[in-house]
Amino acid sequence: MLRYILHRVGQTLVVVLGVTVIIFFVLRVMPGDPVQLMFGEGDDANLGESRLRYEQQLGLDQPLPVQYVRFLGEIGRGEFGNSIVRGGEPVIEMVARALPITVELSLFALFIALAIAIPVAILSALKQNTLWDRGGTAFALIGVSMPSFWQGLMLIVFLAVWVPIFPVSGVMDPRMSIVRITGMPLTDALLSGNWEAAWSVFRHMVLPALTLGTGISGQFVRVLRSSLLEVKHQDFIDAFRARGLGEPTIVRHMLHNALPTTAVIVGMRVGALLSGTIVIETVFAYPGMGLLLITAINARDFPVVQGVVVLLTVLVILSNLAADIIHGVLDPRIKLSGGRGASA
Amino acid sequence: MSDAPLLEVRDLSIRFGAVTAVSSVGFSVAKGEVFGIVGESGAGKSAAARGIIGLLPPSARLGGSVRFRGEELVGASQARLRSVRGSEIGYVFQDALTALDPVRTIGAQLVEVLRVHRKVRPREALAAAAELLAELQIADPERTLRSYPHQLSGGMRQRAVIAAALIADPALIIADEVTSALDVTVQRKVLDLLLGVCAARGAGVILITHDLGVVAQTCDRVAVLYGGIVAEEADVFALFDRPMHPYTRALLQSMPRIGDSAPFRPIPGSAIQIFGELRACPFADRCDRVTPACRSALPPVQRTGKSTHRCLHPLAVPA
Repeated sequence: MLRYILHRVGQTLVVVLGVTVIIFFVLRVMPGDPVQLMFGEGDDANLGESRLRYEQQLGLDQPLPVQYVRFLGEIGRGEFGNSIVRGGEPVIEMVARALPITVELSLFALFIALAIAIPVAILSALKQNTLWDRGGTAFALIGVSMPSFWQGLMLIVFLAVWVPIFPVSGVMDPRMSIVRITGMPLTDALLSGNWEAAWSVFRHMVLPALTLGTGISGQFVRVLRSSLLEVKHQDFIDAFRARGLGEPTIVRHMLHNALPTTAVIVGMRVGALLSGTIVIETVFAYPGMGLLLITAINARDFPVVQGVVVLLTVLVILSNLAADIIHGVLDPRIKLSGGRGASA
Repeated sequence: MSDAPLLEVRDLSIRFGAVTAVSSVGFSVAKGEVFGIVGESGAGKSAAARGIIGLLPPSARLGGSVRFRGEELVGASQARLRSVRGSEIGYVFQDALTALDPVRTIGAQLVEVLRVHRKVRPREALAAAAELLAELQIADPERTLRSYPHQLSGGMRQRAVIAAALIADPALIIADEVTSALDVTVQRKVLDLLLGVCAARGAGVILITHDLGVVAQTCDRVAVLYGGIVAEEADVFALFDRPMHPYTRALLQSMPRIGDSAPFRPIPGSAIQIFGELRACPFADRCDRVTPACRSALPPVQRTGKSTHRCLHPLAVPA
């Protein structure tokens, strides 16, 4: 197990290195540069010198390879630099503020996705080729194909504007405040016993989480349904019946057999979940990593974009690792081991 | 009371859509008896066995009567059937590789069966499971209970499947081709263990097989199934010595014996699938004694002593 994890961490380093190359150079190839955005158009002649000094200060006057190596060195030391735009605020601090918010939102969305997907998939699989099954398939297709920004806007229109059950945007009522413990607003509110704020945070989280959750639950439904169908026709399911087990117990065992595959898919979809937050957090003005990334990209705030992307990459890889470990725990036939050809 | 059969099947018929798997099958099994059901693939053996415990796909149509200790099981409620399955009638599956849940330990699966049917604590259930595995000559029961199916050999797995069928102490065991998936070397041993444990508990056994050799060595009575009917049912010695039905004789002749120098005689043609109502002797097309009468109606059940056969032209005239 330990060897396996070390092996995976090694792979992670390679992936992160690749990601830094891509993000670093793509950012600089992209049209528009931060200093120009900051100084505005048309002032080049007058501010030429101060521009130059500012570029020097940021190290942007150096050749790209030099900049890259410097950037790698900083990351290696765990330094992500300071924002170019926002008054030199350290990237780490910005991320520390935004990351817990996104993590909590994503976990809630994941919970909603599973809460929808598991019953729908069970119903579809047990009542295969009936109206229930077709309904489940239709739901999955809608969930997969509906653009999330549109779904988010529709939810806002229906449930926040026409029937104002939920707030339109933000994390919580601006008049409230939460003691910061973990940085995750709902968790902190609950931990500090601030029920009013917790309720407010919860209400703010429902629509974005619902949008994210239904988007990914469609895929879970498809995967879980097909693995349940595979299990359903296995001999041991009949054997359970012959031993006199009740149907609810049998469904539970079917689920246990079908879940390992789904766990891997769930882990793989965490990447989609995080990229989904980029859109959703923009739609709902939810100040997480997604919104931070979009604002930073628009301002060409290189250090922030780089820091956020590298961290998100690590997060995606870690969730894949977690999914593989869960897979191994759920399915005793899987042996997690490092190195080549050692998997059984 | 001792004369009342443990299981009495009468006029059992099973249809899957247009296909008739079993038509008007009847036999009875006494307490402690080993009853063999032989026949080719597709003769309706497994369908009949599954029909007894009501374990057929929803598309199947089940008719006739199955009485277990006098209680009618055809048309019984699902709840009643569930409580009969496992605790009163055990069913041992054909393929041990697939009859066990791959993601749970043997122990968890055995304990589960016992706890569905009896009020026992997990610890006691586990002890009972270990005891049963020991009785089935598993060397290290505790370790086997902690193992997952993929960690065991085929023979061990088949014994675990047998244990799952036996653990709630049923009065009747249905063993469906239990040894077909095993190596020839362990087939015999596993079968002997199964029969030994059943005999020790006084349970009746229905042994479904296509191996006449196994039948000859283990069964008390035999029913020969062909085309979904019981072609012949008799005492095992009577059946082997004086087969009444031409199909039985053909089956016996097609069995190679050590020391035989005569050419091997397979049955001409191949087994048939029955569509709709059976209106002729299903063996008519392959039979050397066939007459037009055989094709005009299904031969009725003829009873001589304790044996029955369904042939208009039986081989031996009953004494």
